Amino acid sequence: MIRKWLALVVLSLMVATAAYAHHSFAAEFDGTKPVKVVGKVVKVEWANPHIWLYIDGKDEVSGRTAVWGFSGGAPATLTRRGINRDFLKTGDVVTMQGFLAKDGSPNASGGSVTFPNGRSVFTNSPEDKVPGK
Amino acid sequence: MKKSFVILFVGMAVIAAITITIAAQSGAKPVPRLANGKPDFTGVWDHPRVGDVAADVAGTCAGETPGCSNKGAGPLPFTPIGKTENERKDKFDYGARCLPWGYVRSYGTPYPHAYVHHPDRLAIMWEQDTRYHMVPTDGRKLPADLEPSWMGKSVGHWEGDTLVIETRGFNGRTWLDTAQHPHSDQLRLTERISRPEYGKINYEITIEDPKFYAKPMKNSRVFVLMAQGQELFEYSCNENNRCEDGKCTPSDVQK
Repeated sequence: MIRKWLALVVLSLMVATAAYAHHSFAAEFDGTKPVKVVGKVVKVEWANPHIWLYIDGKDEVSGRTAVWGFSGGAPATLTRRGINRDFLKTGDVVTMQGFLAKDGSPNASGGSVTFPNGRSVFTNSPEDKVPGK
Repeated sequence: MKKSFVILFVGMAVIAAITITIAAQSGAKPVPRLANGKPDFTGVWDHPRVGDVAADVAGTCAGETPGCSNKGAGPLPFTPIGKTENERKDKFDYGARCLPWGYVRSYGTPYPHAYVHHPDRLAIMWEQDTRYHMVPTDGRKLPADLEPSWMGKSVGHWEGDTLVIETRGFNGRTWLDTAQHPHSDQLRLTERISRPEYGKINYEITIEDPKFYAKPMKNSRVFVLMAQGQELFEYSCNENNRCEDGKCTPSDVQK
């Protein structure tokens, strides 16, 4: 199972380049401002054009605590990748990495989710900027 | 007489068996045909993600199937007015507001499309925005005066086994791609679509817009048939659109 997830993550990273999604990644998020939030999942919005994951926690980069919104890929993209609407549940503790919204609000592009057991899932559109790259 | 008939019958059966065996071994499914004998494009097709019509793309398709490609147009031949339009800093990001992506851009989206083909028409269905477009192929011509629209009006005709589609009547409010390359209401498209193999479509589009571009531009793309069982998903853009132009709307949980 872990190997399957790893394969998905590696595949996602391979096809990832910083470019454009539903609309321009660059128009909404600042690729120079990474965020890394550790906290509890408050809500999952499995909806178009991008899924949104809300994490109540602290950004390790800025020290800011908030309910953070992370914008992921489209439900169709993630479903084709083998990730369905149940992959995160309210109360799960995760580490979420992405890039801060341009307006400075506690929102970010949602690049990857890491679970306490180390499992990591890439949740964005294949071409969006990947944290750590 | 009876004996020679038996020999002929057995001989034919052996030839048929060999033919079937060869076909099965090569794994080559024949290209399906419409009732009028022309290639049938029906299927769910993965296309290359073309975020920039100038650029080449090779490898993974939008829906992550391997084998798609695009030979891009190269440097775009802007007219002076086209160059000014392209360099504007206050372009209206219509896609971020869930308005129709437009014809050229729909074929470059990060999601696949489907064709449903009939001798008299080709129905194109793009997963992006759950949008459809009809291409009559019954011999009708485009009217001289077209109501401007987001997706234009199309007609198609066959040249051998290649479907040639002409489209015009655009409102000029969309872009050619997500790189925001503009077009005017003078946009005219000519597409040439063929299915040389069961699992492959060759797609060529010539983009003409004398107002914004001094010369026609061409993209040559390869689409790949998606695996059996793959279907298009619903895509409802307005459902949860939150950060257009970099101004995020707080969700209920963040208020």
